[in-house]
Amino acid sequence: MNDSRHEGAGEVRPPTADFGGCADSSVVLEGVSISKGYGSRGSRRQVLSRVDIRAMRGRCLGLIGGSGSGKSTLMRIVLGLESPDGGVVRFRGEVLAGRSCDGARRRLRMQSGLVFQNPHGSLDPRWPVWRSVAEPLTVGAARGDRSRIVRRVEEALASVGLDPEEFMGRYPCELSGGQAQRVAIARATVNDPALLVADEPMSALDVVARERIMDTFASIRAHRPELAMILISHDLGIVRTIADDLLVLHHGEVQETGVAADVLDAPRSPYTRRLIEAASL
Amino acid sequence: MMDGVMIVLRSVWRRAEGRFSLTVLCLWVAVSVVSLFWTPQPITNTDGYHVWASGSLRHPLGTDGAGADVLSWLMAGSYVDLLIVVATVAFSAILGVALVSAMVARSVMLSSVSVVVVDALISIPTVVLALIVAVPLGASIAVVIVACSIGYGLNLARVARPQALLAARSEYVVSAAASGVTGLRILATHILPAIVPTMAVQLSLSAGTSILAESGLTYLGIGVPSGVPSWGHSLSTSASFVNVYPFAALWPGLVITVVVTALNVFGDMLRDAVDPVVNPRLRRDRTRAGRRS
Amino acid sequence: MSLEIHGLSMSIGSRAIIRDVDASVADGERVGLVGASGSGKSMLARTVLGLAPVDAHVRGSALLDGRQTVGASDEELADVRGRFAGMIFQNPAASLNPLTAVVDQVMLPLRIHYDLSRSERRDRAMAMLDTVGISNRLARSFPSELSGGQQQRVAIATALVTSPRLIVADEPTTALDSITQRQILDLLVSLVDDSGASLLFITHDFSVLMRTVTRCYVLDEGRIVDESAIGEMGGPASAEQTRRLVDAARRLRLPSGRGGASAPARKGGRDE
Repeated sequence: MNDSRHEGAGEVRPPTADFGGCADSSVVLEGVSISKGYGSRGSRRQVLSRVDIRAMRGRCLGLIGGSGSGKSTLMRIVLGLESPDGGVVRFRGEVLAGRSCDGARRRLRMQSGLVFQNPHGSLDPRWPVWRSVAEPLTVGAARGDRSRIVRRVEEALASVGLDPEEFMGRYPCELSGGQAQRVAIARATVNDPALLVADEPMSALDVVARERIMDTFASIRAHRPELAMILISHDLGIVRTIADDLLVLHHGEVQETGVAADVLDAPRSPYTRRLIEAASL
Repeated sequence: MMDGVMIVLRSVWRRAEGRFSLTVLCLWVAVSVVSLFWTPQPITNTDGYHVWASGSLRHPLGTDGAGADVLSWLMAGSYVDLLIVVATVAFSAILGVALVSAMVARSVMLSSVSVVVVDALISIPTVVLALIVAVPLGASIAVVIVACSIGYGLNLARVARPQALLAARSEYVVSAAASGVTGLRILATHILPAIVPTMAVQLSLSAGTSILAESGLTYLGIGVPSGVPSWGHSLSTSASFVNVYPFAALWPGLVITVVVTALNVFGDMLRDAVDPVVNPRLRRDRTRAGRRS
Repeated sequence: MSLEIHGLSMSIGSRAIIRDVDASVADGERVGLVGASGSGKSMLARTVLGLAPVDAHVRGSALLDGRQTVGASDEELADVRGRFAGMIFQNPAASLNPLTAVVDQVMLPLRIHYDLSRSERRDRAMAMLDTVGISNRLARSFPSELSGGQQQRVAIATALVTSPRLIVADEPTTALDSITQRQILDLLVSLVDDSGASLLFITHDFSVLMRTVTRCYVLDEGRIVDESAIGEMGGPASAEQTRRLVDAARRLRLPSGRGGASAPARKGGRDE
């Protein structure tokens, strides 16, 4: 069951993938030929090998891969939380990696939102909802006066389908998993980010809550047509309703990329075919 | 802020143990304030004809070996012990928080060095620390405060570190960092609040232990100097005669026991009361505060 | 082994977790228990096996082949659990002891419930691990050295090594990725059918049930709100909660037969 690592090697596409021919100016975040390995020389484990990834304005990229495919490492690298061994990451044309790029990294942080798998983990248990959601508004240039912050928190909560009156003052322990995840999404989008990254946002929730989170993402994208989004998941079925493009990662190598409908209709790698099979009802 | 303090105290008061500890602690503060202006007998008054006397109208708790009034000495001593406890708690809190902050720092250098330093220093017993401090300072209140603050501050840092690390590595800290919140602000708003409940317990234990340490160090002759009233002083003067006058040691022993117990119970109550995850009343208050803003 | 539940209720303090549940699993049948999180489905399974929290108050009856488990003593329950019933949990990493080699964990239930020599136990454990697809080489490794899917295979081996007559699987694939999930489900179903045991399968995901069970109960707020054969689920006769679950599952799945599942491989790739 733990597929042997090199079996699919012959199928790997060249890393110059076609993303549907979008103009360069619409690229928000781009990683080119990213490699990363862990461990010392003797037992070195290559987690990512020459991966290309591109998040575009107004589009949602579905990053698909099983456990151990390196998708979380890739996310940490493109967000500047970890540095790659090889390759380059650009946010709006600015290079991120390296010590001299703190400015670019800070700009990326100001303009990106994160949603994690564990809905309660991304909220401080000692903070009421309004404070968690307001936190990104209290830094840097985004800082504003109190009434403006409150208004934007209320807007953000409303946009994820939570009544601000009812939920502003609640604490994470008083929320269900689905509600907590929606608060986390409100928090991630409150400062109007250019990029939203969601790492397995639904796998800790039950199906009914999952469906509601899908709707939440859909309405967030309707509210903010400029938003670039990366949705990480191990389940094709979950991402297909929102993702415009797909990137299938397996053992740190890109198996397939392209427009979601094309990939689903005519998968070219055997791994993608197995994913599609597993996700069919 | 004031609202929060009132709610915390009210939550403590709601439980019987909490009422006991709050009553004892308030009484303690009140007595120390009164003792600054008035004691039943001036503490310098000695009555050579009535040494080791048992309770009487003139000396409700009897007299000690010098014929001084035990009640007056205990009242006067409560002020010195309050001073020691407050100073120890304040200084060990400052030291502990500073060390915890260093130990969870993102800089590998700072965190690993501070962990090693804390582990090395914590192996020195408080008594030895006090003996070292007593060399330049002589027998004084400062010896007790300095030795206890260092010892308990180190202990606090070690006990609180896991909690702080848990918060520091949590996803809410990652998302705060990812939205551009600076390290120091994350420390102040996410990490340090997470160790407040632990601090409440540890500091109240330290408060109790510092009273015991004062007694012990005074007994050894390096704590509160002779002539200055303190509970430890009262205890050590009477403890050597406990075989002859068993009741003489009873009163200072009893006072110390009750106050130390109250401090420990108070710490336990406080831990539950200051944590909004555990205390729903606090949540309701912050809710209202949120609405107002 | 048959399971009969009559009027089972469970409450913790003043909070009712399970309310008056009637359900049954016939000998050799595979039955599903589906519900949203917080519906009490895990608690129901635990209560049946006498694993309810210590402060729970249980009423009603649960019969395992006619043996009452509600109010049974710890000794009786331990006997029933190990010998007649096996349980598989959601998080395989947490249900395996990180300090013990996997083969020793699979041997443990045999030592408790059967009178076998050490080498016999070892042989049986190895054989069981082989059946679930864990090679002899992997059998000597520790849980942390295995992937999530392999850990869940070990957990299944541990639950099945005593040849239990009833297997309770509590969301065994929720923590796994979708391909591994499918493999584990197929493995579980084939093992259960081969041994002729009954299966009680708990999940929140209706699409998982489609592959594993023939009949299913829908649980909502501790009550059974619907019961039907798996093919009729979500039909017009179903309760509202059932339709919600089925709709959600449908929306989150690819329509069957879509795309390249059956399309010919363009590069003549070997299937992994």
